[in-house]
Amino acid sequence: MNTGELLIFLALAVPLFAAAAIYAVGRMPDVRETLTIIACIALSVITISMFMRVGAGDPPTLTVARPLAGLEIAFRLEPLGALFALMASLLWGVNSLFSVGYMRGKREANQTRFYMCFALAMFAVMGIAMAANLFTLFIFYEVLTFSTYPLVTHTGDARARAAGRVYLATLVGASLVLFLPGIIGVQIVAGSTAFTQGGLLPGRVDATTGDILLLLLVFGAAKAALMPLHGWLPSAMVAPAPVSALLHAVAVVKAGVFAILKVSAYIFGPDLISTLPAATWLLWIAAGTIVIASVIAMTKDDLKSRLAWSTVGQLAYVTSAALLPAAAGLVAGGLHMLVHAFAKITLFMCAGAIYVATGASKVSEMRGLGRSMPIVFSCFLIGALCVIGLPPFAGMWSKFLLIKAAFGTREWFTAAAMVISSLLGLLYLAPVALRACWSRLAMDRHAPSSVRRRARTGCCGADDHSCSMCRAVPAGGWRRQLSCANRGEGAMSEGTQDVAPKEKPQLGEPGEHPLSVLLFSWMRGKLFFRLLMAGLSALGAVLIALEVVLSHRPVTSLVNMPGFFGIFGFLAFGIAVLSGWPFGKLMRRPEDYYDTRSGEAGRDR
Amino acid sequence: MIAFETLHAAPPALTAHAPLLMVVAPLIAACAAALAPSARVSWMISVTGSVFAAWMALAVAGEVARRGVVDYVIGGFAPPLGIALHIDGLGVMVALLVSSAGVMASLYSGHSLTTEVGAEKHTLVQSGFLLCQTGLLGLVATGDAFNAFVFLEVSSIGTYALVAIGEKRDRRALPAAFNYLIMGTIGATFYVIGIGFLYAATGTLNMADMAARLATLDDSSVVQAGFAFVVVGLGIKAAMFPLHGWLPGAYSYAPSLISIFLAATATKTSIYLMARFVFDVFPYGAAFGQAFVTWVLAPLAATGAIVCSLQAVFEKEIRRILAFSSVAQVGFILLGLSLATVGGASAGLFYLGAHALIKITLFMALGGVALSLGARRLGEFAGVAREAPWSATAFAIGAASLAGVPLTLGFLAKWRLIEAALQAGAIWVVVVLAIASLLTFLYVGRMLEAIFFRAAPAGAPRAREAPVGVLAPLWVLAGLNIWFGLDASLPEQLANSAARALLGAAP
Repeated sequence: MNTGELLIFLALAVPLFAAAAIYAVGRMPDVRETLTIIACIALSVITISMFMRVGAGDPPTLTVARPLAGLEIAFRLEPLGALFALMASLLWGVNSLFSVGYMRGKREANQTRFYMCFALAMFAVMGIAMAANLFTLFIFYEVLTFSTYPLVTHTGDARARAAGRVYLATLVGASLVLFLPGIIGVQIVAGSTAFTQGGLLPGRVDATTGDILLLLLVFGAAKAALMPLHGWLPSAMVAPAPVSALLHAVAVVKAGVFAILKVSAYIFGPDLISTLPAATWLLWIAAGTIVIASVIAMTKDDLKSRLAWSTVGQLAYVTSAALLPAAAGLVAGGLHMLVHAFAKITLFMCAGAIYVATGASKVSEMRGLGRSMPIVFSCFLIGALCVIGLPPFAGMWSKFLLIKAAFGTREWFTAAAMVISSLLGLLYLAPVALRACWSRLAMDRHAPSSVRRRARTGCCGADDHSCSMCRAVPAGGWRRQLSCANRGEGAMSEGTQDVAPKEKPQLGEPGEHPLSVLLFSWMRGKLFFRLLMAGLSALGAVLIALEVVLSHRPVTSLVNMPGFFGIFGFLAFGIAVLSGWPFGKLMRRPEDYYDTRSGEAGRDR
Repeated sequence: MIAFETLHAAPPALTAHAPLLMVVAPLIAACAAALAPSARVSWMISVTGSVFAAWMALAVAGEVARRGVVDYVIGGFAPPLGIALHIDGLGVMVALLVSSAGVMASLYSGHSLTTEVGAEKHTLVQSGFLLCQTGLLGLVATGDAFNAFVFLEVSSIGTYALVAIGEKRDRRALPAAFNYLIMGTIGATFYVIGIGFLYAATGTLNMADMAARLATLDDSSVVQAGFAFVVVGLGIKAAMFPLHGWLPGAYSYAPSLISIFLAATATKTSIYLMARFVFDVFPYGAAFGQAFVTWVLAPLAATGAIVCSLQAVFEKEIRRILAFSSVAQVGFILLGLSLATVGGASAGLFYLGAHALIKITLFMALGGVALSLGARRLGEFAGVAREAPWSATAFAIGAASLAGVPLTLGFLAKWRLIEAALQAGAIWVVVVLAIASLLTFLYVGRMLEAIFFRAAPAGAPRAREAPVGVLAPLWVLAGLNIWFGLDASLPEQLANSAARALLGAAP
């Protein structure tokens, strides 16, 4: 056994052994968690050294078993898998540290089961990452499903069990009905399922068979949450935050998109993909998933649920990348998988930290919390901007490559969906952190009205940052802040009297933070609307002109129908205008839309 | 790979008579057990008889691998007049299955009978169990159609009585046994009527002989009627949907020893005999044989696989869930056979072996728990995983294998079945298999959720871990589920040679 094989063996053995050891010392929490951390570090060292070795010499191969003639459980190290293994093992370490704090902070039950299943999930991830053929990948893919089921249902209440059922039913159902027949189909067509450089299938399938296999394999990897098989992901949000981090960043969904990337790169190959009509259909579905998921994310008040929908959209980016008819797409997809993992785990850890510290899980409850948890919300902002893809954060590069690849292969739908969804991401992710930092507290309903008014006008409305509340708010959330406000009533009353008579002409809405007024008030002028209109009209004119000049890639024969683009454009325009109604309602609702219980918030303005 | 060609399990003198000894050993043991002075002695006799039969089956397996077919002429009277034993690859596979299931069940019986059956009946139970084993092994070994009927009845009479003995634990065993008796007798009668027709048409009872003569007169309505009677009769015995009415009761209320043995072997041997008749005796390709496979066997198997899986999903008693699951799995096996390709038959027979192993594991684990806990309903098994972790884990392994979780034998069995169906171009079979597998997964999930994820209600009776005498065979079986999941070359080899023996001459 040479070094490479030894590394493969160790990468599988360490988490498996860790799971057994964690079970054995389950009675001693300190030892158990130390063991977990040690295993994380060991695994990270192993995957790092694997990553360093990739590309040097022959890829190491390890065949473990040969269950049936022509079927092998075998592992082989290749760049994409090494990247995935490295990412997962590093994030496992980070997440384990976080878990220790979270699980102890929340005094969760069954912690030994939690850590053990976590280690088993890592075992499965290592198997998926290093699988040398689809058969092996499928086996570990299923192991991952079953080892994460106890994690999803960790709290054990009715909601968690229901979510667990959805989780298992979707994932197992898809893999039994779609993935497995797809893999067996590949086995029959090609005589093996080995991942082959440049693709296993080219030259062995006709278009129809290729289409069917591609559809089976892409939808079968339901962990990638491509619509319509995405339902399990938002419903799995009942799990504790470390589990969400595992699902969204470390292992589960990444295993799904990783499987799709592998299938695309090593089973079909970019050349075959570019000839298959099914790839185009799937690209449309992925583009639809990207946009729809972003729009749904905007409507969610529960932070974790919002993040989950964002994940659904971001995964579809990677799926699109895998299906773009160019090798460049695979690079972009791999990078986006990595970047999104790091960004999303940041966001979920922030959500978990906020929940543990303050009990707030809804976005509407988080207004003003930024002052008490500046570090957490700064991290959240960084993670959000990274997911959105703004410079100087890593997300920018993967999105840049993705959109470039989409443009390069003339997949306009995909490119447009990516741009739109990035803009929507700006709308639903960034405000969470911004409002938390710059908006007034969400505590008002529970406080006596005098304190409430004073807290607003005295503290946030009048730019009085010397007020005790804004400077030194103790950690522990708005309840303590409230008591602080009560105590500081006398001190603040002077400020109130000073400020109240000066009725300056208000630019922003009452109670709005001055910085926000400064930043955004220009959008409210009439001139802006005129300019916007003019800009949009010009854009429309340019598009129409381009329509005449550019030649279209004939996607279906429908395109050749006379006047197709006219009719299509008219219909699309009509739908866009009509959809403005519900969408407008959605966007114009008051900020306290969620707290309709008493209606107080609305009355107070 | 195990090289059966070089397997000399027994000295030549024994090997020469192994086909007969394999059948006769349990018969002699049955007589001895009935006369045994105490329960313990009868148990020892039972174990010895079963182990000896299994040993002889291994010896036969070596001979078959070397010679292809073993023919043993009883008493020197040459067929077609005399009775001959005729064992080929298919027979070897089923014989090994039955005899090893017999060994496991007899090992297990030492503990289970003491709690489930009154002490005075032990010797008779062991005797009945050995008789049943004789019948099943004889059925597999014989090359004579009427002889097969005799052995079928020998085994059935043993099981009728044994199911009824379950009445100490559950009174519903009595109607279940009566139901089984009536249905089983009808099945046997149909079979013997069919044989009568065939004898009238061909003038022989030897199967090989019959096949040779039938090849010349397949349009005769007498032959067709005979075929129909034989198939329906064996369909009842094999619990082919919709003729499975007797099975859930018989499996659920019998003493666990009998559930274990029946679940692993009884329907399997009937399927064996049916496959013999459909593919071997009646030359496949005869118009009505083909029509039967395509238009009757396959649709019924598909319906059974789905309907009975659904019934299992909604069933409340855990043993009834497993019983309905058995009927559904018979559907899987028959679906594989109905593809009528060597690949399909091999996959079906592979599934047959896998299912036998899975069900024996599951019933044994349940039986081990039930020794201390008289639970039947799903809810009453809540929290068993904490009280009897070893049995519960073995059960979980068997259940995972039943559901087709990767790294278990069940997964490979499903894989082979789907592969064979795709290769034969039967997409609809793949769809049926996928749906039925999904349903399997649902009821397996219900059982495991009750056992592992639900806390026992306060004041509920506690389960105790099963004794070592039960855990040892149980874990051998559970381990085999995993071992074959990693390296299935042995069952694959057996199934392949069985399929070749069955369909080798077929188009």
